[in-house]
Parts: sequence; C-alpha cells; structure tokens
Amino acid sequence: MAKLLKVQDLTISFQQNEVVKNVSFEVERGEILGLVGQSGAGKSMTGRAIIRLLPSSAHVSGRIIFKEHDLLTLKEKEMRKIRGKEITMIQQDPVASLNPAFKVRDQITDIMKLHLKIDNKEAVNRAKNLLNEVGIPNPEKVLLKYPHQLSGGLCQRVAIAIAFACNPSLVIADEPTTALDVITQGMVVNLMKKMQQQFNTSIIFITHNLALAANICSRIAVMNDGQLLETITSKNILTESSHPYTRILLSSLPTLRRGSENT
Amino acid sequence: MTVMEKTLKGSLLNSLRSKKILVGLVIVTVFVFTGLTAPYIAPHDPNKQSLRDANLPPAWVEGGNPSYLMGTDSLGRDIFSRLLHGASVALYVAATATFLTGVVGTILGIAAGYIRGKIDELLMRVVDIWMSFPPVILAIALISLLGTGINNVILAIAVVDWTRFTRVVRSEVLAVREKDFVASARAAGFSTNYIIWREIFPNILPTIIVLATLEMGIAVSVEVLLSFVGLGVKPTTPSWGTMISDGLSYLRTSPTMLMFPLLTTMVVVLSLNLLGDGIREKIDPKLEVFR
Amino acid sequence: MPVTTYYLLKRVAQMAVALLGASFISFTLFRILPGDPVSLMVGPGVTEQYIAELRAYYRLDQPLVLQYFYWLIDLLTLNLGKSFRYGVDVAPLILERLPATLELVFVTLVIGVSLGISTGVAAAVKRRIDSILQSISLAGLAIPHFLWALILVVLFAAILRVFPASGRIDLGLEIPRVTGFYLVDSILAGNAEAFISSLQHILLPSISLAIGMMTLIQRTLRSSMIDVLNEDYIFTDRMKGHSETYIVFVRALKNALMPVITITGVQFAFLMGGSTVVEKIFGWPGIGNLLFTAVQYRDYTLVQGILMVYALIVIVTNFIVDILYTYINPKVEFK
Repeated sequence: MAKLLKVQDLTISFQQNEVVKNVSFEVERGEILGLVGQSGAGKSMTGRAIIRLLPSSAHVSGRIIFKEHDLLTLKEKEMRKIRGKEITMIQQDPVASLNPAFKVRDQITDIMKLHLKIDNKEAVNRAKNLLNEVGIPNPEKVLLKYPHQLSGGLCQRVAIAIAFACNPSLVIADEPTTALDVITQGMVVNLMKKMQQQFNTSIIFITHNLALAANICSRIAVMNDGQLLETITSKNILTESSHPYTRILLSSLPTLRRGSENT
Repeated sequence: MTVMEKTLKGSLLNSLRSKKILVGLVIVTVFVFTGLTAPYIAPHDPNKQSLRDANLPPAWVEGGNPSYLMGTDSLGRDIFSRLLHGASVALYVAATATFLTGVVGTILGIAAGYIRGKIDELLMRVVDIWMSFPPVILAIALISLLGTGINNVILAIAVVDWTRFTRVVRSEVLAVREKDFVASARAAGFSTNYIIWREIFPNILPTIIVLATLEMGIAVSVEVLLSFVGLGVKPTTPSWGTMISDGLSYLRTSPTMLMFPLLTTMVVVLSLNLLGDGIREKIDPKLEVFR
Repeated sequence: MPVTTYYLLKRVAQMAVALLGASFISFTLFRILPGDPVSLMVGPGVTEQYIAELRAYYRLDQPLVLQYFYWLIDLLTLNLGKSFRYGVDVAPLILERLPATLELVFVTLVIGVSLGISTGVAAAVKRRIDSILQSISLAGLAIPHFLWALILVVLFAAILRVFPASGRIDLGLEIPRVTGFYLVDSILAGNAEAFISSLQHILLPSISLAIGMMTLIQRTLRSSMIDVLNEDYIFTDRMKGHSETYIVFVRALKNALMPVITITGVQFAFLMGGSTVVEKIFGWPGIGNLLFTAVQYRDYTLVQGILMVYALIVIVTNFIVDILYTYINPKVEFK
C-alpha cells in the first residue's frame, strides 16, 4: 500500500541557521507516528513544514510527498485546499489556539463550510455531533460559548473536533497534551486514539515525552538538534533502539510501560 | 547613582544616532536661541508701524525691500522681526506652562501612584471628570473669565493639560513601585520620602522628560491657537497666532503674511514632537503618551 | 446579553455624577472671578438699578450653596437661562446651532474612522505602506487641528481653489429644515445641487479634524493588528485553509479593533474641542462659533450653557463607546 506521507531530505533554515537537517521519514495510512525529542529539536518545525505554515523567513528544501504530490511545489491556492481538509493541526495551548472573539460554533462550522459544500444548518448539526464524539456533554451549550469561558481540556477537545471535522487523512498534533494536567492528558490521548480508529486518520504525534509517545504511537521517530536519529516501533522500544541518544531518553524516564497496551 | 549617571552619559551619545532626536534637537535649539536673543537680533522693532511700508512682499520678490527680509504686514511692521519676537513669546509660554504642568502633574502623579488608596481614587475621579471637558473649550472658557494676556494663557494651558501629565506619571510610578529595588528599600525601612525621591523619581525622570518635551509642543500650539482667535496675548505683543490671524485676511493678496508664521509654527511644533518622540523611542518604545 | 439592566442603571448613575461634576465646574468658573461678575458683563453708563436687577436675577446675593442648588434645578428643567447678548433663552439658541456642529463631528468621525482603519490594516499587512505611513504619521499627530485647517484652507481654498473656504452651503441655496443636518435635509428635499454644495463645504473642516484622529487610529490598529496576526488562533485559522483576506478582515480585525474603540472614545473629547476652532476658521455656524461670540461679549450664561452641552455630548458618547466595547470584546462583561 502506498505511503500516505513521505518526507525526504527536509531541511529548514533561518538565516544560515539550520534547525531541521535532512530529515526523512514516512507515514502509513492509519498509523500514529510519534515525533519525539527535546525542545528545540526541530519537531514542531517539521510539523509546520508539512502543512506549510512556517514563518516567511524560513528556507525550506527537500520533498514532502503527500498522496503522490510534493507539497513544497504546490501553489498557495492549492495548498489552502489541502489545509483543513486533508491535513490539519492541533496546537499546544488549547485556549490560545481558539479565536477569543468568536463563539465555538463559528470556529467549527467555518472549516466545514469552507471545504465541504454544506450549508449553515447542516454544519451546525455536524458540529453538534462532532462535539459529542469528542466527549463533550451539552454540545448545544458549548457551541454558544466563547473560548475563554471553557477549560483547557474542553478547549483541546474542541480543537480536536476542529481537526477531525472534515475527515482529514493526516492530523499533526503538536504537543497537544503539554499544557494540560495529567488527567486531562490521558483523556486527550484516549480521545485521539478513538478518533484515529473511527476515522482511520494518520496522526503525527509530536511530543517530548517518550513514555506518552510509546503509549499512543505505533512507531516513534526520535529527533535531536534538527536531525532524525532513528525510527523504532514502540513495542520494541527497549530492544530495538540502538541510538545512544534514544538510550539516554529512555534511561531518564522514571517509569516506562513495556510494550503498549490498549492500543 | 553613578550607575544612573553612566547610563545617562551612554544614552546621550546614543541618542544622537536617532534621526528624530537629531533633527528635533537642532530645530528646537534654534527655536530656543531665537527666543532668547530676539530682542537683540531683530532688525526692527516688531511693533513699529509704518503705513508707507505696508504690505511689502519678501525681500527676494520684486517690489520687496531688503531691510524687510520677509516683507511687512498691513500696518507696515517687519514680519521677520515679529517672527523672532513671536519665538520669544512662544518660548516663554512653553517653558513656563510646561514647568507648571510638570510640577503639578509629577507631584500629583507620584501621590496617586505611590500612596494609592483614597487619594488615588479621588484624584482619578477628578481627572476623569476634568477630561470630559474638551480641552480647547475649557481653555477658552477660562480665558473668557480671567481675561487675555500671556500669563493667563500659561495658566489656561496648565489648568487644562495637568490631567494628562498626571495620568502618565501615575502609571509609570505604578510600574516602578512594583520593582524589586523598591521592595527591598521598603523592607530596609527607608522612609517614604526617601523612596520616592531617591528610588522612584530617577526612574520616572526619562518619562517626565518626554512628557515635558511633548508638553512644550502642546503649549506652543495652544498659545498660537489662543492668540489666533484673539484670546491670547495682548494685541501689542507679537505672536505667531496673531500674525496668522492677520495673514488670513490677506490670503489672496499677500499669502506670505500667513505662510511664514504658519510654517514656523508647524516646524517648531513638529520638532518638539520629533524630539519628544525620539527620546520616547530610546527609553521605552511602548510608552503611551498620546492622549 | 453582555450588558445587564443593573449595569446600565449603574452607568446612568455614573453619568449623572459626571454631569454633576461638570455642572459644578461650570458653576465655579463663573463665580471665582475676582470682582463683581455682573459689572464685568455690562458696559459703562448703566444704571445702578439695572446692575442690582441683574444681580438679583443671577442670585448673586444668595449664599453660594443656594446658588448652586438653583443652578442645578434650572439644569434639570433644561432652563439654561437667558442669553445676555441675544436676549433670548439660551437653550433654544444652542439647539438651533447644535445640528451644524453634530453634522461636522459626524462626518469627521466617518472620514477619520474609515481612513484610519483602512490605513491601519494596510500598514499591518504591507511593509512598504507601513514605512511610508510611519514617517508622515508623526506630523498627523503633532500638528493640531487648527493648523491643519489653515494648511488645508491655504492649499485647497486659496491656491487650488477647489473647495470653499467658509460657510456651510452656497449662498442662495435654501433647503427646508427637517433635521438641521444639511446633508440629510438636502437628500430629503431631493435637491442635488444643495447636497453637493453642502458636501463641498463640509469636506475641508471635517478633514482637518479627521487627520489627527485618523493617524491615531492607524497607529493603534497597525500595532494591534500585527500582534493579533502573530497569535496562535490566527495560526489555527490559517491551518483551516482560510484565505489571507478572510483572516485579516474577518478573524483578525475583530480582535484588533478593541484598543481602537477605546482610543476613539478618548479622542472624542479632543474632537469636540478641535471643532470649536475649526468652526471659527471656516465660519461654520455651530455651537463652537457661538461660544466665541459669547466669550467676546462676556455672555456668561451662554458660555455656561454651551460648556454644559459639550460636557453632556462627551459624557454620553463615552457611555455609548463603553457599551459598544462590550459587544466587540466578549471577554468584557458588565455585571
């Protein structure tokens, strides 16, 4: 089966400073790939490069092949058709990622009205269902609220709903649990697993938490200092990993569940 | 204190790199110099009328008289000399009004910002109500009661604009008083007086300087404005405002009568603002001093 | 509903207090004069009895507190006294001139706000426009209304002769007075010539007033817009695939306008002040011009009345701006 996404020799630099160096990896349909590393390793940049939302001062080279098209060669207009529909992204700070001046309803329906040819009534209906899927009770009430009126966990659920609204092939989750408390983290992780199963979406899960990645991802790509060091299956993370850096990451963890249960 | 002095010296040299400060400083210096020396360098008596020489164009235009560099007005008075003396008037008004407003504004601003409590609340209410009166109108009303004359103009400026000065000083004091060195001074047991004058004041001084410079720009504008509408200086005192007013009537026939004082006022006001804005950029680009 | 009835009542009470304060200031201004205010109002050669009558009329012999009390009652019954110079009641006199001033201010707001917002957005989005605007914006802020008025008069009325230098409408053009706003009345009367003439006359004065406000709005909006466009939620909107135009004008602008509204409210008081002198320069028949005449003739009742009207306009406008702000900014709720 053809791979969904093939990143080849991706290099991103800012003013002669390379932040991502020759990174290559692949994502299969329906799999969750983890992108793990410390802060500054270049994981977020890689994620943003895929959806082509890097700062304008960034220099990008390489190829990002998504469904047989090189995303880096597409015109902006064409890329906009892909964003939101085929590839979406979830950010770290859930409250900040939602527009404070608009109700939740407007922020979910807008993406659907943009990409799927449906009218407002239909969009609101689907929004309600989506909120149900992400486990929000009383979706009618939540739809009418503003982001600042909702908790971080609730906002992240909304963000997840937005990300899955148009049934994308790829969702890039950039540290989606980092800003949340541990309990909510678990909730978000389980939610993402559920959504992925339901919609058969591929997910690139970016995190600095190796244990978390092992929990949710089938494969993990380890990055450091802009380079991709190795890609390993989570199941065999202890046996397969050969890179010394990964060993360091592993050894610094307080506990690590062997294998991955409840996948 | 030596740290402050060192930073001051460093920033003084640094400021000259700012175009705004440079241009502003040059013109303002010319303005101040002219204002101070006008009685000595003006070629004619600004009030000397000469119907024979009335309405002369500038010296470089055909029909002009070289002894009247910028021409004469309808009463034969030398425009150039009047312009120079107008600078004195503007300078006097600007300096005095700024000093007055500055002193009042600083004291009240520090009182409200540092002591807080009831004084702060009361003061801010007064400021709010005061500021609901359009400033120009308040000035006009004040002059209508006190009468015209240069000192009343100064008083009017101070009465009208003290609120703005106070507000900005107060917010600066609020910001500074939260800083660590203030807290440690308080913990060390220094008296309020000491803290205010030795810790807080030096740190708000740059802001006060910016405010003062901008205030001078406003003062010159108001003086010219009031004199323009006939509510400013006494008619015997030359002012750019009265010159503009006179010139307006002769707009079609002798446009230079209006243009010289108008341009001069514009340039001086702009330069004061340039200077103030330039300094503001150097100390804290986010500082809000405009209304 | 972001605004509760309780809040509205509270604000109305605050307005009343502000008006009270304004009335107090008006009142004291009149009476802190050294010497006798009445004899300053009348010329020489007036009988002692006349002066005594005037003093009784102004209740100057009563205790100060009572004077203030009567003044307040008068205000509440909208009795602003009699104009000394015109001999008629002050209130209707002001009311007759008020539409001219209001029309001027309104057109100024329209011009100032629309140009300010459009240039602000342009500066935030296009670098080139931004650098041009940065250099000239200081002039816009530093040079006061009346200087701009003079410059515009010199340029457009005297040199280029495209716009008239004074008045509200060409002589000889008459329109039946319905609202007092010439632009509206001329449309209502179907008189195109009058409309064009009114428009020509109102342009220079309102532009001179609008320049300062426009510049301030532009600066504020630009900086606010730049901040907003860098926020996470705009990233989300981009991620959704929206076009940049939609993002700028629909998603970002609403957030960026919040500080602009605050500024505009504050600017309004200055606008009212500036309109006074602009009215004088352009011979505009509004209450500003009336104020100058009143001051010239020492018509203190008229001066007081006009002061109160200005204060009222500013206070009410601030109130409206605050309410408007709650509709724009969902985070602000008034309880």
